Amino acid sequence: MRVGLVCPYSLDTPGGVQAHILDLAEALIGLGHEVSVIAPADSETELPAYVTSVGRAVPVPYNGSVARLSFGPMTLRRVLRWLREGQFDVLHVHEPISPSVSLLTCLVARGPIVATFHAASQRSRTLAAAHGALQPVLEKITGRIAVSALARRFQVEHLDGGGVEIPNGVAVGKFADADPFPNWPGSGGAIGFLGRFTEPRKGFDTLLSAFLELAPQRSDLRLLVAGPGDPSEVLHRVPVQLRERISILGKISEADKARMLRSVDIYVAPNTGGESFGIILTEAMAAGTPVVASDLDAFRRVLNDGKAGDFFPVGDKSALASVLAQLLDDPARRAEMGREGRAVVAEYDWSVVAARVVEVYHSAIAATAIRGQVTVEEVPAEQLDIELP
Amino acid sequence: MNGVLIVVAVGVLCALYVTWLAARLSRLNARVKATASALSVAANRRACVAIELGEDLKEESVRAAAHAALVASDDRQIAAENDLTRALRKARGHTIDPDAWGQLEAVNRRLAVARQMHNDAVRDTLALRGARTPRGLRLASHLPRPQYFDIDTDLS
Repeated sequence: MRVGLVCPYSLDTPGGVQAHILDLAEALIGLGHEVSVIAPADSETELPAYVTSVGRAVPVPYNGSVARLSFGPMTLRRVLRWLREGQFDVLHVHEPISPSVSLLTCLVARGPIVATFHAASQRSRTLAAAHGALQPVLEKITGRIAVSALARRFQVEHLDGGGVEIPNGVAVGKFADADPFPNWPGSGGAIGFLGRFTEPRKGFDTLLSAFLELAPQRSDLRLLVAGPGDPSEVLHRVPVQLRERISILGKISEADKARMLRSVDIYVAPNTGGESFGIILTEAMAAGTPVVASDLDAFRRVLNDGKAGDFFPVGDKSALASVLAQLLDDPARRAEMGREGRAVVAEYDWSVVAARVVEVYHSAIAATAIRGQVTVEEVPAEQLDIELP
Repeated sequence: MNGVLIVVAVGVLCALYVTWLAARLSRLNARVKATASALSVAANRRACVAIELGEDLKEESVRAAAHAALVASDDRQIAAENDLTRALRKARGHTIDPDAWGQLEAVNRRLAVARQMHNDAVRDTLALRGARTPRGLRLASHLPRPQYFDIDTDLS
């Protein structure tokens, strides 16, 4: 099958949606399909062979943050050429309501279109308010995929319509085979955290407090933190003699993320809520690292109701400290949790998830009146000759 | 003079808008027809697999429900599909052959996806048909009113 994947966000910066699309592309190629991805990207960014760039994304201040978007006559022309040359059997558009390549592609393409809705973020909520205006775009979508129960609920409530729930995939092999950083995890125990540690919702404060409670009694216990943010905001709360036992890596690549997860004895997800799926938990499980997580529905579901991880009440730092202390002293239980995690995560492996996505592709093709490939709506020729000033 | 031009321009824009609405309605109508036929293919496929499974397992209730679903008239279709789902759910524990059950689960999943796609198409169509202008101008009066197909496909 020839599949065209559309990514709305720039590949210049790492992100969940971008990683999802590239992983899906590789899994589909692994299953024997022909795949082409179109996405905004700078000419200097190194891209896999199957990616076509629509050019540089323009940063637009938007809804309190900066969105890097691609829209305009140049983008339209590249999208049209990609559609014509690609001769796709099915088009798979991600985040179709973000004002970027995805929306544009929906407007001009005809044929089987599958759309994946990712996070139920504040930003997409704002957009959904304009959903009357977006209706002509949504109308062209044959089948919808939601990556989690929460994303599905968001669609039902804000965009009328459900969608097939297919979880995010994990490239299990990449995590299972990664090498730990030199000298990690070490003999004294190491705890890991990944995410925006300055964002309250991620709950890093709870973990830091628990660590500060444990650290004085355990002289070699270390904390490994990765994610964007200013380290000094965290370290000023830490007594000077403990500071060297906290390593903050900053924002890291996908490959380093896998190494980081392999470098710790326990991964902690102290989130206070709002997590739709908890992909990081599946990644930790793929790395064979035991997980301790706040007691959220989404996390309970991913961790197979506690078989593959331990829980603590949301925001309870002393409960977290005692769960961690128990686990640090029980290597047998940790090994057992690691094994259980690997078994659980097998069903999230991209090869399995991609096969479910292909089922939706087949259904979308069967449910489309126009037989044959994805084509382009009639666009007046003069419209294509507009050049950017 | 200017007034006339403005009236003409507004008239042209209105005509374009109405044409665009009519085109959307006819495209949605085609989409509903296509999803309905895909849905009926998916339902028949499930019934066929279920008949075989019923025979292999000597589960007469499954075989009978599957047969009824296969031959049901349009107005009985939804009830017959729900009966079949119920019969399959009961038979679930009795299966010996995981391969046969896996095959049934696969066609059942396809049916659930087909139902979703059809109901999405129906909802989009009804939304546009119900909007003020299409309703006022009776733009969809020559098109059949689409029907939801709400069936239970939960096997667990």
